Amino acid sequence: MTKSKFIIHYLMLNKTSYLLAIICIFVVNFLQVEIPRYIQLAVDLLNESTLESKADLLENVQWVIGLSVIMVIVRILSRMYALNPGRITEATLKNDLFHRLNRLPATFHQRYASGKLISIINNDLTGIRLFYGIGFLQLFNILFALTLTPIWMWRISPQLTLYSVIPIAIASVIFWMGFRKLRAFQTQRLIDLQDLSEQLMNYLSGIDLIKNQQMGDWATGEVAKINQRLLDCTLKIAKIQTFFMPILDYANQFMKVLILGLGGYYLLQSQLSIGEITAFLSYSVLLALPLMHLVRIATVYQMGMISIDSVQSILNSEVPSTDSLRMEDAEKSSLRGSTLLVKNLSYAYPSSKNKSSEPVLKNLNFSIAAGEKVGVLGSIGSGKSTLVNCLNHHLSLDTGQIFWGGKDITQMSRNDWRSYVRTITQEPFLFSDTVAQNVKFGANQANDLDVAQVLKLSQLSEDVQRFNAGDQTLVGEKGIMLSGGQKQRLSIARALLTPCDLIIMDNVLSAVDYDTERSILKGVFKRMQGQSLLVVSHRVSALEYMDNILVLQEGEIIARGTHAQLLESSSYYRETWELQQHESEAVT
Amino acid sequence: MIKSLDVLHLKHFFHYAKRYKKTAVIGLLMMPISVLANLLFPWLVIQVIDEHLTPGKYDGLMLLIASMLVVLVVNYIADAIYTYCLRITGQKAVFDIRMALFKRILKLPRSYYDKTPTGVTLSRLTSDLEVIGDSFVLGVLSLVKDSINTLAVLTFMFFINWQLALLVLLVFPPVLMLTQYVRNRLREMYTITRSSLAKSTGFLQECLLGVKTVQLYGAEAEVEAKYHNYTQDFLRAQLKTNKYDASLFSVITGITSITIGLIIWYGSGTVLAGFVSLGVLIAFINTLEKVFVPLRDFTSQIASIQRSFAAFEHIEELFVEKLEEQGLTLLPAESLIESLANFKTLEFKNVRFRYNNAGPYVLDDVSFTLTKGEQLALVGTTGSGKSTIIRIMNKTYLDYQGSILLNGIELSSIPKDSMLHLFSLMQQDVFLFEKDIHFNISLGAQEITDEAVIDAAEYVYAHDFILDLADQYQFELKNNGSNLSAGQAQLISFARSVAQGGQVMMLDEATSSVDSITENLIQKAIGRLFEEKTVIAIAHRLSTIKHSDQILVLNQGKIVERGNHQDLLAMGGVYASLLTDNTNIEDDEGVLA
Repeated sequence: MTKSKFIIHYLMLNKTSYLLAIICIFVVNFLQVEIPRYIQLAVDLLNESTLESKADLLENVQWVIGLSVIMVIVRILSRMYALNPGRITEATLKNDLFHRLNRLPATFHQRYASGKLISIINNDLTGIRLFYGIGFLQLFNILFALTLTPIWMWRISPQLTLYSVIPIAIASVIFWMGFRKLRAFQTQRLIDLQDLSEQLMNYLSGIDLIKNQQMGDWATGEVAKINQRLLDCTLKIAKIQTFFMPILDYANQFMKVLILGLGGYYLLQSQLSIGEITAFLSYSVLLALPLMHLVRIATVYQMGMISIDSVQSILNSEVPSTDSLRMEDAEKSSLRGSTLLVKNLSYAYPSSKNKSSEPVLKNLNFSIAAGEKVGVLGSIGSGKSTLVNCLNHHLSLDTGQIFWGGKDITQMSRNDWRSYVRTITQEPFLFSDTVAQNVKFGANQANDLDVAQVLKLSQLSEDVQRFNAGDQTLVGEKGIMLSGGQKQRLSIARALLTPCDLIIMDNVLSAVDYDTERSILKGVFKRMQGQSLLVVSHRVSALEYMDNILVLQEGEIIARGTHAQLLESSSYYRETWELQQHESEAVT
Repeated sequence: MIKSLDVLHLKHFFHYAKRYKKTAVIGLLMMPISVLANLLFPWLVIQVIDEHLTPGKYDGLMLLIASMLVVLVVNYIADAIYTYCLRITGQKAVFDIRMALFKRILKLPRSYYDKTPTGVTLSRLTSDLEVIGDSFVLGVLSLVKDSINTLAVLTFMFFINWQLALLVLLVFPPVLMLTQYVRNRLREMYTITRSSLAKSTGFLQECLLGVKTVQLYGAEAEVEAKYHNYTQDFLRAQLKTNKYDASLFSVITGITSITIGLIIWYGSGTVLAGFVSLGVLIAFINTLEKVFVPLRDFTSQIASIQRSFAAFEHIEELFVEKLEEQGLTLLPAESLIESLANFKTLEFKNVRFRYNNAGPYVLDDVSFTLTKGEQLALVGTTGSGKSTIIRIMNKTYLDYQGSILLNGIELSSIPKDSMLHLFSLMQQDVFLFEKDIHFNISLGAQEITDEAVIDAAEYVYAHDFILDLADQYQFELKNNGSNLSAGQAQLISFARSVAQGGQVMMLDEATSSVDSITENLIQKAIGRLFEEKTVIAIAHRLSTIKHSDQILVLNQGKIVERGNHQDLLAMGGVYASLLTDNTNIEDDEGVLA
């Protein structure tokens, strides 16, 4: 989406509200110039003493009060109609961004740290809210005020209008210049402030060294330097704010003097009435205020544009086109319980331009039939996790390498693919919610009975029963209240809850002891009905019961077979097994 | 509205502001001038209308107009100087407070840092002082100016025509009540928006960190529904806020016109009766805004000042935090210059120590002697008290029980600054400044020449890799040495300790693994230190330990074994088993025993 399309798209979202806002803003501005006219009529009638004029005066005063009350009401409406869309756009964009972020592939998330994304959603959206809210309001306010007020003034006295506009025009030029300078200093000040906090942070983390080496005076001097820079900049800002910024306000006062002087001169020549001068005095305020706001609206516009850019950096990021494919229900169910076929799978991480990157996976070939249990053994760096992330399509793949029931998995949406395959990742990620909610995560309809059952299968029931609130216990941020083993078992329960065709366990049993490991595997087997299983581990014990085991080393399958076969055929497998036998005795 | 306790917290601010009394006084002197000019203007308006325009007299009109211009200019100058001078005072006070706080921070004991996260201390020096500079200084300035001006204008109005002034006052209570009501509602909404924003940000952060899990479990729609609810809550509260905001704003701007209507209405009777002149009426109409707008801002100014009190309270905590050597009786520094010029002995006699009064003893009955030229290794599992011994030696922690004698003088009676030159500490957590390598070795000390820096680097075998860097000794380190390897950073920190010339090396050996080439250099450097210097080391490498004259094996704060490597191995006790377990000693040779 281009920028202008983006702006229009979100403007159209609240078109009724904006339309009503424009009408209300016009009415407010119209009343604003009309009320002084009635004041003018009333004031001119003050010196008349006929009974008729008294009635007229009363009528005019009633108009003033009545119109003022109407103005208050319409202004409330105008502000609600104009400012609410800003809020609504902000909320909509938040949801839109989140929606997009949830669908962007791993390559995107690796490039953008979550902190940066959050800052965009929290801070840049403020800029957009102001753009769509106060920016809109002030734009039309200024537009109407600056067109209506001079017309009304002109109707009273063209000459006086021209003369009185001059000081305001000069003042607004000075004001603008001051404002631009102010902005530059304010940006500088933010940088200084950031420098100061970085430096302080640096010294605070090295406080022991600074104290032990008696560098206190030096550090104080360094802090004083930046502090001084900050102070200088702050004082410059203060100078502009106190000497330049009020200039428009005083120009307004100056204009009043001009009106009294010149207007007085015209009055004495009977070209103007005293009421007209009073009205003119009111108009002078109406002319100065929008000019002041003009500056603010320029800032809002600038900020809004910057914010829109950074928001668009998310919204315009490509979601792979295949992810929008939706499978027909018939096709979907026909693919249930298929065979996974891996054909010549190679994978190299995308690297920076000048470095050639080694393939992490080289020409892997294997298959997992429906109901088959396959194990992958490999040490750290052998490519195990990369394999898992290819199989579940977390990494972006070339076509023609992984097939499900004959269909290339890159030709279906990730969402569809993951209804067949469920991955239990090495680092389980838990939400700061209850145990039960974490188990139910990703499952649309799950009853508590099911939850209890999978907890039991993953050997977590006993632990959960010991918790104060059972499965309603909160697990804390990232599951901090649970031990590593408990987290892993919880993530296993989570994967077992929803039916799927292939369960991938990526080194998930590393934090539990061997007995528990065995029980968990037994539980998983029990739950499996025609489901396939892929267990990736560096522990042989987890793989003993597999139908087929692949030994992975430096991205290549160096051996395959059952446990018994591999003990015979693969020295690497045998050695690993023997070493771990020893280890397991030591642990238990 | 403002509690007396809060006012007490201001005393430090005023203490520092006092230095700029002159500037402040100039600013304050401008105040009456500004107020006067502010009143003179409407008075002149009255004169112009009643003396000239109404009777149609031209003579003297231009003189009045000219004096109005003068009044205007005077008002502008006085106003600007008032604000500027007082802001200077405030900002300079903030500057001084920041420096004072930083100096205090440098003198705070380790225990303060143990209990206070760095971020908290940082925010005292930055955001809290910012709030004081902004909310407090500006808030008080405008509050004082606005209230005095409003009062003056009202008094002036009474003086000119009390009936009209009374009419204006009549409008006051409902407006005040409305602002108060709206402010309260707004505060409620503010609490709601704050908490719903915090919740939604927290959830967002979680989902982004766990985006892989979300995607792998196909839970996109599920988390979106939840997030949508948070956004909706936030939006609802925001729309309500907007409603109150809009009402307050519109009523305040509208009330002026309504009051003008009322004034003319009332005036219409009295002008005719001769009580009120046309000039007064018009002057009133033109001054009204000056009365109502401050009324609108009043509550928000109070709120902003109140917000600044939280900041005052925070920095006050730093001002009352006890300094390291505060209230201790220490020997005068001059008397120690000679006796502490060179290191002779350090003796621990039945030393006990705990970090707080209720906690367990981290050191229990520890005794040993370190004499010049000796190497002492401390061995033990994590938490056995090794690091505590070093921390007590360099006075990072005070309050020990028993006796520690440095050259025969009780350590607790020596001011910290008088003994630190004897020790060079090589810490496990390397800390590097974001400056060049030269600075990081010399630490800016003038007496350390360029040659001395290179010598030190050569001594620890760091010279060669430094020469390979782009700018050699002028190579700028980033982010605590993240542009060096971990081992290289360690070597720089070694070179620093050597360059600083302490006579006793305190070495807290790192456990983190580094690449084998640098590891080799580190080993060699340590080996050299052990041959030539007095060393006390928390050792993890077997090679380090082996070369020590004396090894203390610590367990739960007690020395359980002592002797040299051979003695201890022969003993077959804790030391021997520590080596076989290979839990703490990261060395290939470690397993050999």
